[in-house]
Amino acid sequence: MIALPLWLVPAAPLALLVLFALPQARDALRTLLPLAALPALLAALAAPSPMPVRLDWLLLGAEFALTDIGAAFLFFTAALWGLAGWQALRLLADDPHRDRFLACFLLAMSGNFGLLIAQDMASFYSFFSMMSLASWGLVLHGGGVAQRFAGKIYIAFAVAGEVALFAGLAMGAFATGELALSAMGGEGVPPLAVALAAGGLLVKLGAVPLHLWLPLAHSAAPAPASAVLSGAMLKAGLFGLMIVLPLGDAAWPAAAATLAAMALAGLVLAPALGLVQGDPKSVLAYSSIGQMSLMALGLAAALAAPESWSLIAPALILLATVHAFAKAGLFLGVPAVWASPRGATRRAILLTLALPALALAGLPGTGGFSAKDALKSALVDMPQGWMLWLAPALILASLGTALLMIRALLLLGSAEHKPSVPPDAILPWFGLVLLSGAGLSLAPVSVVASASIKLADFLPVAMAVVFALAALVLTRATRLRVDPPAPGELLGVFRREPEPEPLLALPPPPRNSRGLVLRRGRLSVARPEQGSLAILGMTAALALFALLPEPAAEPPGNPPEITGP
Amino acid sequence: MSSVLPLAILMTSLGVAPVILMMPDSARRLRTGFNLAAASLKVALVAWLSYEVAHGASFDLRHSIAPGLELHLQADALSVLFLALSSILWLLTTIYAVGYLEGGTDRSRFFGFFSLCVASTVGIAMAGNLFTFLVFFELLTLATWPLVVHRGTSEAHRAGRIYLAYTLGGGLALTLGTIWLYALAGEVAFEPRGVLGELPQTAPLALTAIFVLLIAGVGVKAALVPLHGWLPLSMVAPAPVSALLHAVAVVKAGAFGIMRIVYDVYGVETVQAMGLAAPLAGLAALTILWGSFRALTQDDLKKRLAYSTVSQVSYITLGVALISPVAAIGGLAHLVHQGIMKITLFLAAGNFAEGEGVKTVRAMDGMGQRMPGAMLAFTVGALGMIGIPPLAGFVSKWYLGAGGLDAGQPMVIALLAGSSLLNAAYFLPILYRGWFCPVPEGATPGRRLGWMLAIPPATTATLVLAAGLLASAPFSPLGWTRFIVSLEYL
Repeated sequence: MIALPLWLVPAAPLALLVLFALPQARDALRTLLPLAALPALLAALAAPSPMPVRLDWLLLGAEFALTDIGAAFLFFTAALWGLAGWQALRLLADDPHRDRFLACFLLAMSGNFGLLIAQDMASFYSFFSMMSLASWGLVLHGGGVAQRFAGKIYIAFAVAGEVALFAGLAMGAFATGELALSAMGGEGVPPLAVALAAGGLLVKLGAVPLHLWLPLAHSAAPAPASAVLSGAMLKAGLFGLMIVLPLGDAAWPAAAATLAAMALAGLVLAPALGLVQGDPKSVLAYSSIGQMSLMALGLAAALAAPESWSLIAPALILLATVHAFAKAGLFLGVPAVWASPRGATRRAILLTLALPALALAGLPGTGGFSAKDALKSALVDMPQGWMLWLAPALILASLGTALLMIRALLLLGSAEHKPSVPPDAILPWFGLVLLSGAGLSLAPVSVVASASIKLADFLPVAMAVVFALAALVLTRATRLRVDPPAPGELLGVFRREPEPEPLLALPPPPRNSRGLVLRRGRLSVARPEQGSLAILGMTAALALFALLPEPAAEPPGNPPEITGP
Repeated sequence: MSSVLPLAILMTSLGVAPVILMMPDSARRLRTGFNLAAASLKVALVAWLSYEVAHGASFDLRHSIAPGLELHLQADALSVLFLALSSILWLLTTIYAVGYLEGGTDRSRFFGFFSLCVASTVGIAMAGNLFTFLVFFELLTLATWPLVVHRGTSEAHRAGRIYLAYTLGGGLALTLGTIWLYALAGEVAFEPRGVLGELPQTAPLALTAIFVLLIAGVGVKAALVPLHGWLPLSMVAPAPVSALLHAVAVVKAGAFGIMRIVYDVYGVETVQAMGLAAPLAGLAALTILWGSFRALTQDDLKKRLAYSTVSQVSYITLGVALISPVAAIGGLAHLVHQGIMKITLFLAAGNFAEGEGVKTVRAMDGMGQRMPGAMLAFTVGALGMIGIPPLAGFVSKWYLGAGGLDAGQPMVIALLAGSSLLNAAYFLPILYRGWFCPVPEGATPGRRLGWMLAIPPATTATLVLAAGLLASAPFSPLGWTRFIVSLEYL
């Protein structure tokens, strides 16, 4: 087999994008969109993995290599982007702004692939910002009020995250004198640099309280975009954190405690806020926050007990893979539900959708269970203080997810039939479900065979079902109605501004803004005198200054040369 | 040989200017052909010069006016940086201006002064001593004024008056400083690491005063706060002039002057020892933030870009004032990077005004559909300004940030972060409107722009991408600035 050049992984989507500039070729090129992910998929599965590439002339000297962790992430990332691209083509077949969406999609795809193979800071940061900024276009695509609001919040968070990441990387690079990304997790990096870089990545991961953009963006974006946002791009944050945090070296209790607090807040808040949502996509988004918080919890544990990192890392990768496939399956399933009128087809689709939902909830026998089990067994060696709350937190995570899944499925079941959604939008989703079934066996991840399944493992899912039934009965009996709030909790306060007009721009000030259009009357701005007066005043002061006697005499051997006649 | 090349480079614009000025306005083809030929020839000559300088050749051309006072042209690595920037961008802007002023009046006057303006820039780049620098610096002031008032409206005249008041005032300060320094130190040639010898010990007070005078003089053109007031007003000039003013000629002459004064007159060690670096860095930091704050509130597209220039040019000053080789690389590279990014933005903005009559941010809705090419170029320029990799602005910011740490000033990182956020806050809304807002109803399709207007912004946008993407390639702006800095800080 011919070895696949590694640079092709991010270059394939970019090449397609460049070819898009030819209007004649667009029709043919569009159909190639899902194939742009093919080199990445092949690279992830290739054994032995592709050779590292060093390009000294690129950026500040770029280096690409596919590590084991990178390959695991690249596998699900590539699969998701390809299938989401396929669905995007079907869903947006009649959209007038289709090409704008596809261009952003390709850019974000390239960024996401690239950051998984980047080994130096500059190229990692480049790909990361490419992904973040291009996703802005995915969020904004619909053009409605919700999209505009979500876009505003998204870009504010994304840019702030970028800047934090920049500051962290620059400080790290200076402290270590190295541009290699892995240097961030090594010796000699100031804690502030790590904190800043991690902060930037935690925005992407959607850790509470940096998650505010996430439910808004995921529910505003078209379903395939939500699938990659949730399935692939959140994991980019996790991937980055796995590199920049000093995991497995020395314990860093302060950071561990902070991260654990964020993770716990996420585990509690996600179901609390997600259950009251009325839109299935925002329920799914909140469940992403919960799941990502679980992964953040793993990172926190590894910061507290470095020796357990070797066990936690594979568990996190497995968790990320399962979540990626399952969540993308659910998001891509949303248009599939829309496309089907109520009846047997819809019931079949919903039943199929229950599979990824159950996997996420960690029902024994699914990949989700093995992942959570692996995480659980990796966390047995934690310090005393941690053990107290770790077990309840893990149960809470499963329970919360199970409840959210039930809520999402119920909402989906009652969703309107949308005749505008083409029925063939089901195909990519079906492909993904098939792939998820086989996914874990194909994926370059090590699945830890879980020990015997105990009855207690069914507990969270069973409890969730009981709760859901109880809630259903209760609401029916009391005729209680829950009015679903808009996604975005706190930010909803700002949502009903009378004029959402200039995005992120301040209103023009009353005084100076008319400087140029004034045609009559006294001119009050910047009179010519002002500038020259300032200079003349400065000059006069200096002239006075110069008249003062020189503090020291001229050295005798070096008299100043007299100029002039 | 060694004196012919600088003279030839100067004459390809200084000699061209009077010829163009004398041509009748109707001789469009002849004038355009002549102008473009000269500009292309200059690019070729500068390329040759860069090659020679990179291989260690030195160039010298002296003409004595009076005892102790001579005009001196030379070409060192720093000159070449500025020369390459101005000659390439001059060529592109000339092409653009020919297309832009199609059918306008007084074109011979315009192109004549346009050439004169670039001639002064070239003179400033190659000036070998402070006196020569001063001569060309003043010539630049006078050559630019007719361009600012080219439209002849009352607004233009007002802007022209203010421009003259500021720049002549600055020129006065520079002249005083120069005379004083000549009186004190004799001939002030530009040499790496400074030429003041023992003077800092013997006359520190006078040298401080002279430094302030000189920096105030060039600081007007570099638009250092509070001397920046002229810049946003001179936006009434036609788009190619704004582009040239902001990217190459005027503000860059100021920034370049600061470099020469700090590096080649005083020398970094002296500036540091006299305690002059920190105030200059502080002023640059203030300017960076103030320019960005003011840019936030501007609705006029060109005015927003103008305030952005105020902010961005001070990155160069900051890089110089931080007194660290790493920061110097960032500052010097930004001289080129800011030039290509800002010219892209202005040329694209000019296209919006020409093609669709769009001059305000508010009217930018749907520009991505109305003028995709220009909007794409604008996007590249704007993202570069924010510092998004892999574009040119990222490279400057990276080095400036590292340089700040190197100089023991970690606040520089915070400054850069804050400035990036502000840049994003005033550029991203434009991109949002352009790409994601629908074309307003009732918008009439504008006129189709010819290749002369379309090619230059596309070219500069490509350069922005290339300067960032290929930053480590040997002949990138970054590579060249590393070479310069290795001479200054050995």
